[in-house]
Amino acid sequence: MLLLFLALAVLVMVQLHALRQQNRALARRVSLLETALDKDQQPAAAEPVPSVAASPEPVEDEFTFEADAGPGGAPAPSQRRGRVQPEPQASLPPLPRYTGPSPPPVPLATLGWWKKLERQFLENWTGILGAVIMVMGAAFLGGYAYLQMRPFHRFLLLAAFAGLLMGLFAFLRTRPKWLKLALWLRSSAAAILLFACLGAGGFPALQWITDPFAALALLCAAIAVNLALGVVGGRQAIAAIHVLLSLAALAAAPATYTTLVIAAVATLFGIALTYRERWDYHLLLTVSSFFLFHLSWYVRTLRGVEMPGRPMFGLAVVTAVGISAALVHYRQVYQSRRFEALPFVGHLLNWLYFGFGLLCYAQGTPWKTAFLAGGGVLAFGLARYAKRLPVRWLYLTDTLVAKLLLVLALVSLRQWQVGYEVICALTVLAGLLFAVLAKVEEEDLLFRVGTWLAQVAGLLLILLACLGWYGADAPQRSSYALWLGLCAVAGTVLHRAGGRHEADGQGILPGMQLLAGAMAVAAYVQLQQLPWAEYGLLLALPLFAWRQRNQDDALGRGLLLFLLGVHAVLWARLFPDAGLAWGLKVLHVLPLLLLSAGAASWSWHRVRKRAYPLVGIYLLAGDLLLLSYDLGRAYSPLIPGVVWLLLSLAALELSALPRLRRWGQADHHLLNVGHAYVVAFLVRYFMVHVPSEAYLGTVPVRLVVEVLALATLLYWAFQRRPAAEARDLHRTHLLPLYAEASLLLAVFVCLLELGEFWYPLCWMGLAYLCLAAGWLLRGAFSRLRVYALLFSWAAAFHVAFLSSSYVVPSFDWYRQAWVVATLAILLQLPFGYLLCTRKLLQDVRWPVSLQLLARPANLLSLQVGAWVFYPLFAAVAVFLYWTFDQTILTLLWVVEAFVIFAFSLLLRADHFRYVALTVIGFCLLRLVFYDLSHAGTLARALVFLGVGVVMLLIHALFNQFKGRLSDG
Amino acid sequence: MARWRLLLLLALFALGGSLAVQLARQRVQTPLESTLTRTYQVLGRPVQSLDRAFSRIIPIDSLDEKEFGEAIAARYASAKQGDAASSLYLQELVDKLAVFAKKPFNYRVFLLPTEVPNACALPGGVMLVTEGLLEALGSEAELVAVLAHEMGHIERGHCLAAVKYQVLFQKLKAPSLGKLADFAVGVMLRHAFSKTQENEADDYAFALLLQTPYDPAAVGAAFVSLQAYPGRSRRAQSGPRHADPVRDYFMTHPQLVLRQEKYAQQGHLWWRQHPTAKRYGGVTNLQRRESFYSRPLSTEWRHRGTGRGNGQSEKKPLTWTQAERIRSMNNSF
Repeated sequence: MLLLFLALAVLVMVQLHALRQQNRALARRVSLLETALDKDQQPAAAEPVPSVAASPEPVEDEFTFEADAGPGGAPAPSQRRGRVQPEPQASLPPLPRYTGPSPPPVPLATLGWWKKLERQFLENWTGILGAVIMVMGAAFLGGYAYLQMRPFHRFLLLAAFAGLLMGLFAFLRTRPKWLKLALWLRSSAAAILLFACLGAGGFPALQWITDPFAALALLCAAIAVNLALGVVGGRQAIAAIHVLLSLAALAAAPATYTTLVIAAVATLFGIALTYRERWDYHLLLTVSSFFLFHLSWYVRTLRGVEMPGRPMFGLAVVTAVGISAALVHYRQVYQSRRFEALPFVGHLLNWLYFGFGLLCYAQGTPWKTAFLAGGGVLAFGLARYAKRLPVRWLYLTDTLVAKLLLVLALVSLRQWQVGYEVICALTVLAGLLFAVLAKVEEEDLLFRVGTWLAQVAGLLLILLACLGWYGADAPQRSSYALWLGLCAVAGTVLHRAGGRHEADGQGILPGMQLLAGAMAVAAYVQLQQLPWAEYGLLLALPLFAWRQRNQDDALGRGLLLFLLGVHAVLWARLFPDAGLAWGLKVLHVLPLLLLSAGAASWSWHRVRKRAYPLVGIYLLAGDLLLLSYDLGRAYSPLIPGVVWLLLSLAALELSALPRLRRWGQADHHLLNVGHAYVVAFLVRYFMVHVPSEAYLGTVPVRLVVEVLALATLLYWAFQRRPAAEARDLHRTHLLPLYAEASLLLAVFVCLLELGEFWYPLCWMGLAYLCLAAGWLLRGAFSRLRVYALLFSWAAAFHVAFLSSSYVVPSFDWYRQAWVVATLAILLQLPFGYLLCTRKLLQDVRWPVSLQLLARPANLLSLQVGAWVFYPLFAAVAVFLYWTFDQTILTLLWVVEAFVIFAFSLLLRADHFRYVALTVIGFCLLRLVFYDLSHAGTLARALVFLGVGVVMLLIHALFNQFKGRLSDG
Repeated sequence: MARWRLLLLLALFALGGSLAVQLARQRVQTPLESTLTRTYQVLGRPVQSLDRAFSRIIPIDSLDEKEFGEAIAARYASAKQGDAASSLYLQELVDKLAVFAKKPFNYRVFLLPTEVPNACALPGGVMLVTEGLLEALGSEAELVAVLAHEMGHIERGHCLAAVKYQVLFQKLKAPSLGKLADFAVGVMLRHAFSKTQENEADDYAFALLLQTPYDPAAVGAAFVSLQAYPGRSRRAQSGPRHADPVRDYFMTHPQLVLRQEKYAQQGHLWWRQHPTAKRYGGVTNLQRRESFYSRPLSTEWRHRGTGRGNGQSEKKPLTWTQAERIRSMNNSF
């Protein structure tokens, strides 16, 4: 029953396909009719529309339910093409031509969905469903008979029913309208007969023959009838269904050699039909049915009594069927340069079935490798033959099958104790060979398949090597490395040796180059434990030159991957290893340095007319950074930062070489490297040097490092690059910032190295330094004068708020905070004077990256005196208030007012004078209302004396220099 | 110009190269592989300066702090005290140190009966010392160094900065609001400059010790003595060796090993600059709880190249292994 339903399912599929083809044919006819109508409307002579039957356009697809023009079925395509084909001999009288319904069919496209459904149901599905329902009725009848009759009578009943159906066929076949139904009735009759004969020997309800030979003979007779009807049916659908039914019946019979032979004969008969006609669907169904039958037979015979010679017998049968089905396509009728999907699929499936059959019987024996390889060679030979025919799709199919069989043969090498890595490597090589051959023959599909095969196998090989690395011993790793290296070399050599792309002159295996790079890295991973394995990497060095000479981009990508990979491996392995002496470590890293240098040197791209040394430069810089880190740390953790500073200087100097400037903007990359070294130093400095309190003799190491760092940053800051390029970010944005970086580092160093006691003097020192630098260097460093003002503000802030509360556990006057604060105040006075009189806040230039500061700096330049002195005077007032005794505060503030007054004369700034007079007024009020009541007699006397003297001095100054006042 | 540039470049390479060679020859090591606490300590200085400036502006002064401290002292005076002889001994040392104080406080020290070695300072001149600290330290000079450190916190205004809002709002009769404000500011800002404050207190202690007859190397030696405390050695062994930006930021104190190295070096330098000087150690004084001022012992004087603290300072900087033993031993002083 299962097979029956399977057959029905196949039938339904075939029917659906046929319906689709019919629809397409009808649509085509309608369009032809419309074209004809358009032509006829031109002369306005209305001619009758030609009937559908008389349409000159043949239906291309033969797998339809149209009736045959001659006896037995529809005309074969070859007949339609005018070829002379032998007429099939039939004993039945000729059937009338099936022309379809008499009125011209309305085009399907113009009908509604209900009408379409109705028409398709009436034209096709009624026949199919009718046959199916009838068979089911027969089954029910059999069931009823089972209950009422003896088995022989049941058999007779079924046979009679089959005869009845045949009678109906004979009655209806002369009527064109019922011809379709008649054909299906005939097939149904044959199926019922087959069912009855099968049951007569095997089904308990129908069995009336006990002798197995007799039962088999009866079954064979029924199969013969079915096959004969398949032949006389004249159409592949009918032939296929009868072959399928025959095999299904045999599948229900006991699994013996005899049934297998009968099935093979039935199948061969079915295949033989395809030599007569080009029946691709039939062939596909026939070989698929046999495959299923054989599978069933094989599984059933596995469990039973051991059958002597079973493998050889099975092999013979499978080979006979497989070869017969394969050879169908090697005929002139298939000659085509187009790709045809249906025969392609049929042929491919046949090969797969064949291969599977071989595998069934060759399983367990190591000799299957020879069978598979032989099959591969045979398929390859057939492919060459197909190419000569020429049948293009067949050539492709057989070549693919040959590849597949060869791969299977390689996989089967495992039974010869060959390692997986060897199998993968051989597969890679085979894939590459196929790809190159296909490229030579300009077969893109085969080339792609070969390339993909090689790449997938290569990936597997890399995966195997990586996963097996930990558990492998030395010989195993060497084996991995050998095969990986061989594949990488083969991929690289064949890439160039196999030909060139015409368009760009590149090699033929671009994807393989990336894989070759990965393979080379994996090979190095396997060998890295060997002493001096790094020197093996130098074998790749000529490839960089080769890449440049041939200008092969794919090879370049592979080399790039290789370069990055080996760097990662070596960095991960070598640098954490502290047990290696520094000289040895340098020798081990030397190949990496050479490779990076090679990558940078041979980086010319001819089409783009520029070099790409950046990867080599950055990797070289990374090598040096890690090497210096590792080597330096082994002796002292303070060394790497120092070396990085020196390396940054080296990169800076190298970038200034004119030759490197022209070499693919190597100067930019070197400057980037230099910046990176500086950043690396700063990170190291903050984490390692800053916490260190080490001394070299009496000199603190940290201080020396800080001096070196400041000098290096200043060296960078003084660099000038030629304005050759319009967009040189180093010149416009980055290099100018080194002045600010130096300054920030200087501030940090002061905060770190000096006690808070010295900060006011420190800020004033930096203010003078910036002022001097901004004044003397002018131009690019003029902005330092603005920073000088900021430092003076910092000093004023410290004096005002911090110095007064800073206590020192000492009674020495020179250790007191107010002394330093006073010195800072005294230093600020000439500083402010210089800034105002020399107009140093004017004409300040800012780099592009600091343009945001230009606007507030310009604001400062408008009222320099105010910005400089008012913070100072306020800070001094606050400092005096918090530091000294309240009794002498009036005197001190008056002195400050005197200084302000003096500066108003010096700078010719009236507002200072107003401020000074206001302060004096305030001090006089304080003198009267505070000092008189709070101060002691002596203090009061001294304060009054002091204030009086200062006011007299102010008076004297005013009279002496009043000409300097604008309103004087 | 090019010539000068070349000369400068050569000079830089010569300086860097010779420095690297010297470092390699002497195999100069660092106490930790890397840490950011010192960097944070420096970066915390601007924040601390602003905080101090703000503390200066708000209307509280030393007299307010003194009044606040009196209340605290009264509370601790009524609590359980440690050994009476030890208390008197401590107070005598503090009284001698308070001579150098600039703030108008009555400096008092309370001995807490706790085995854990610790000390802390409170506003208004109140100091707390545990009995465990007296046992952990090796000499009177080390004890004086610790007391000087706590005094530094008070003198430099760190204690007042921590309670400034409470003192301010106490004047306004709303101390709870002040506590809340102190807590909020502490959470937000205190970690930024707490390490800076510790460094300031350490510097103060070293400077104060120079004014006394005690060995200045005792500041570093006090940190070394703490490694004898068994409860801390386990922590020291399992502590972090590498910098962690977040962890280092939230540490309230710099690692003990860093402080030890810094003041050991400074003590070492002092001894090199004063080869003929003699300084007091006071190992026996500490054991007997009799201060140098009441009973000086001739055997406790140290010269260059002798004595415990000096011996430490004469050594080369700590090796990695030595440093590991006392690493990350944070405490309250």
